[in-house]
Amino acid sequence: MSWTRFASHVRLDEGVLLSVEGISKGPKKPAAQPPQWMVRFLPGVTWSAEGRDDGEDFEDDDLMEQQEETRRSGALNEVSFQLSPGDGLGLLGDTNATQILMTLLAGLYPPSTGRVAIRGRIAPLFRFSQLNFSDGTGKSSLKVISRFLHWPPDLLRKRWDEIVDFAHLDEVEEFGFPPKSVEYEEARTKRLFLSSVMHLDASVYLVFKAFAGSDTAMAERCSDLLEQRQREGCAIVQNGRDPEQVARFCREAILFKEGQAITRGRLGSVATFMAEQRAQAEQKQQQRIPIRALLVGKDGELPILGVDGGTLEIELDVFQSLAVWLSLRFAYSEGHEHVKVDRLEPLDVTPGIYRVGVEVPPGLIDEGVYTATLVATGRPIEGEEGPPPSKELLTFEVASETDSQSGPVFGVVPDGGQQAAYPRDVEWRVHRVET
Amino acid sequence: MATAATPEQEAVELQDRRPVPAAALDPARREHLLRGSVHVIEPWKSGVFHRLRDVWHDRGLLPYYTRCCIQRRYKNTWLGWIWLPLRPGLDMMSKALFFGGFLGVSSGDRPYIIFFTFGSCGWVFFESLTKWGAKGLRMSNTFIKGAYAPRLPRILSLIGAASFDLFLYTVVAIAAVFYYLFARGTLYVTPSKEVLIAGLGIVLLGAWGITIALFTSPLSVYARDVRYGFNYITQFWYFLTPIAYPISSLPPQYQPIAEANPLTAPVEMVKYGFLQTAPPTTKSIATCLLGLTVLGSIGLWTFMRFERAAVQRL
Repeated sequence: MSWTRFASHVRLDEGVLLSVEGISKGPKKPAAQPPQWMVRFLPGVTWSAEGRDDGEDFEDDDLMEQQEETRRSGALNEVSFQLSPGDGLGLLGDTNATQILMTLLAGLYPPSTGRVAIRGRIAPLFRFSQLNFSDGTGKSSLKVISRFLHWPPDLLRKRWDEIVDFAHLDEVEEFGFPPKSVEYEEARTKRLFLSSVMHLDASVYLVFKAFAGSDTAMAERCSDLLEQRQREGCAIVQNGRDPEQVARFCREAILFKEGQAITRGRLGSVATFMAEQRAQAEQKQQQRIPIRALLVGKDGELPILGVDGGTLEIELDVFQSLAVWLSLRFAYSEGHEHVKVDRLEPLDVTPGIYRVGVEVPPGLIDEGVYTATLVATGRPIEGEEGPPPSKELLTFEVASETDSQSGPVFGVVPDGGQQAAYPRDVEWRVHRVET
Repeated sequence: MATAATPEQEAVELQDRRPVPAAALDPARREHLLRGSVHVIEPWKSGVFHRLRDVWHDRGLLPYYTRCCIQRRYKNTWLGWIWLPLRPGLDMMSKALFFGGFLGVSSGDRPYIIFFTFGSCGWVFFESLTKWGAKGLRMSNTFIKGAYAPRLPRILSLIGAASFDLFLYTVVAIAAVFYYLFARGTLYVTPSKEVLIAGLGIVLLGAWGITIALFTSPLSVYARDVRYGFNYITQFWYFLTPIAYPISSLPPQYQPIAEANPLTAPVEMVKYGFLQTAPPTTKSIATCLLGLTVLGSIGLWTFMRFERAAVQRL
């Protein structure tokens, strides 16, 4: 990490452990284009990074799979704060912004502007998967993390016994994973990772969402030790979904919205502000949404059906007159839609509550695991009164999904290209429940 | 029935739960923390100095990068690591059979396979660097996932992987020497101080390999054609360089052209060091060093100019 360096000339204020000065991270930039002279020189070349799949370069296939992991999007604008010994700071609100700030503080990415100055060492108590750069498990993966983050070279060698003791690896055997299985090794490595970070002689600890990704017993043990470290003078930065999550270590908090720090203060007052903001946002949302799903199956999911078919139902609360298009979709996984059954004619509805069902006949389905989605798309009817059209109003979808891992759900395995043959094979039922 | 707490009540509760007043901290521990060295996290900076500092700063990761490169060579194969020694062995045998057996290329008073294997060692080092260097940036994201890591150390880590190839080919060459020692009772290669010249030749070939990789690694991200095209250029270059044949076997009118090849000098140095053949000419050495200086500087500039933009495309 070239942007991380020891800097004797950087002066921190007296009694400050961590100083963040105007740190920002820009949004994801569009893919850079080649220089113009190169384009002119080779006019026929397709300037693509992906090239064609020749089936030989398996390393390129790996690369493609990892693209999404290595890219970060979003933005963080001009954040500044300082921490003194014993301080605890919660980062609340905009999840994207708080996560980016945590990764910048940990040194995983360079900031676009600003500077972070740390007195001593910073210890990232992140998910193991966030810092597992090598994709492996065990001590070898910890060594890669250690080298990348420039932990003391002898940490894993000299303090290994302490690290293993603190991890209580014998408890992992009670989790029920088969010994030597991938899950078993991962669970052990997660504990060893947290234990290693806790054994860093750090001055600042970064806690990612109350030890997210860790098992409860280990998280509690780390929390206890962290409280002790805080009493000894270490500072803590923790991000979280809500104030309750960060309350154990943090006295102060910063609330983020759309990449900006909108307020900072004592945790209680930030919590109050946050609650008010949420209430206002919910109220605003209610006013804007012309249609929403009320009831979806029994437990918030579409009901699971067997090979004999059956009915899927959702309940729609319609706030203004709309033309509603209905669609039932089955997919093996996200982005891989296999069967799409549309109701061809739009349904004109006036405000009220409607129950919408689709009858899936027997004979269409085989066994298999699918995601079933029932989508209602509402658009304002021309000439009707209502809120002025906006992007959100012109096309608004409510979707409910069921992802059954537990047994046979839907199985419709038609030949490719036969999706259009099905619209009339299902029966749509719509009736108003109340006005 | 319990009623939900108002935001104000929740806030008071949260305020009451936070302990650790500053006065309660252990003064000695606090003093220890405040005496720690300061380090900073700053935006990425361009320039050769910063890239070279990347290399120094990330030197601890070089063995890991090298190991990844080597493991890729037998990843997803049925034979696994057996391919590591098998590839150089088969490669040497087939080429030696073709040039020495079918074409009957002269190798002086020593068996052709010894002439060929020692002559090829340096070239293998160069070829391995150029081949993997062209893929260097494309592979980079698979080595460190989920974080930004500087790219120049990854390119330089290829030296480790190429050294492994050099080691394997050298083992094959030494095995051939011992074969003839036991079969004919003659030691065709004797250790001498000229081996240092061979080492220098290998270093020069390595520098040429890295220089080429500095050009091809970012540009092949823009267009894979660069990588495919350079593979053929390397093959052509192989035949132009006196590896499989002694330079003296060329017709006299072509020998000055062969000396102008910048890789002739280091290859001749390797052969001179191991096999005590004729040393490279001054003209040949000058061509090599001049080309390396000029192209090395341009290559470094090219890498600095394009690597960041290229990685954004991955």
